[in-house]
Amino acid sequence: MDKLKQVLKGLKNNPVYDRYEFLILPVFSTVVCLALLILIVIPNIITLLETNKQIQDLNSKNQALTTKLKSLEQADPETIKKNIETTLIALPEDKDIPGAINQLLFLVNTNNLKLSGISFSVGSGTEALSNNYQIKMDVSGGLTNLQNFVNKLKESTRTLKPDSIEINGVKFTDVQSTIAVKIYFQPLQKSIGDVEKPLPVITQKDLEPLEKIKNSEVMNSQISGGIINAQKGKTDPFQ
Amino acid sequence: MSLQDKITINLLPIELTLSKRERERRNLTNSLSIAILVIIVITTAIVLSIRLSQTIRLRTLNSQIDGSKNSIQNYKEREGLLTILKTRLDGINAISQSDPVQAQAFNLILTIMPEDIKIIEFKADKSGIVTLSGQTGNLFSLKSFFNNLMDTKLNQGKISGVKIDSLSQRNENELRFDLSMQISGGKK
Repeated sequence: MDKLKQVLKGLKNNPVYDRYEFLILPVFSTVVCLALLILIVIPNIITLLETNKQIQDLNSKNQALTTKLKSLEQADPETIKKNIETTLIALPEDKDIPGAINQLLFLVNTNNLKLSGISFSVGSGTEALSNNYQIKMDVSGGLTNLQNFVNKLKESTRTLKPDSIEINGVKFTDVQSTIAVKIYFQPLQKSIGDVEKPLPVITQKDLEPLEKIKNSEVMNSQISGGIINAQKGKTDPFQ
Repeated sequence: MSLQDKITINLLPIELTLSKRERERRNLTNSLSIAILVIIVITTAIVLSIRLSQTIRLRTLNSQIDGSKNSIQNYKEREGLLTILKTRLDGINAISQSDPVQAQAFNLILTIMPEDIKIIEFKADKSGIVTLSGQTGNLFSLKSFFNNLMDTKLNQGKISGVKIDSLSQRNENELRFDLSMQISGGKK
């Protein structure tokens, strides 16, 4: 302590110290301020902005996950399973050719058409998220019956579309026609998404076809006729 | 007479006045230095406290996200079912969204064709090209049919082009025609 006092006393007597004493505090203050600004304030302000963006991202992610969790809690698994079963009637997971033929035969019979030939061909790959194949039928009958048959195709429980319509000739009141129908199927997907992916939103409009399938006259007739429960045999004759 | 009106004489030596001014200047400089230092220290403290609060918020959010992810894992099966349902519904809706052009063409021809025209051959494919061969014994019916094909009200604007490939008379009063037309909405 005495030594320190002696040093300070010596400093005060030093003419150089006496001359620049007034500069000590401003210089010290400037150095400390610059050090604080350069080493702490500026880098942290830059990080603050980045972290703020990170917080916003995490906030929205958290919100999305919370919404997803709420939706999952509210979803009724039994209803979803029933709806999937209904979609499998409309869009089976495999070709189910016997089922498709049953459907077409039912339509041919209900529209009083005569079937003289039937053939298959492999589909044109993937279309509208689904795979497909073609069934070509040679039918004969009245023109109005044929028109009804074509119109009933779109009301069918099974998802199918006329691919081509050919009328080859008219014999008396009967028309000879070849109708190619594209039958769709969709294999079940293997990956079911990521936790962070938003939950798919199923609107009432999306469910409209299911109501149509459930209420379909064709389906009711099939159930009553026992076609659905009938022996199907090999589901894919191409394999 | 007020005190200010009196004449005052400063008898202090000039060095003393200069020394006082110098001292005042140094005091001002020191005060400013301390003030700036205090401001910078406060700013640093504020920045560090914000940074600390951000770090705490980040940790909270991350733990909340982890919690939500774990909870979602418990509903993995339900999520899978919903995804499958959505994909299948999208597939069904994509297919049944539009009326097939072939069926449209078939219905349209049967609607606008007079009854006494017989179809000999009719072809409609997904590209929307329709070829039609027919015969009739009635010229007026054939004329009416051709007019109907061109009438945008009757054809509902679905026919974008008609080409008569041939028109012939075989027996007396028996007319045969071949025509092709393009139905709008076909896929190439």
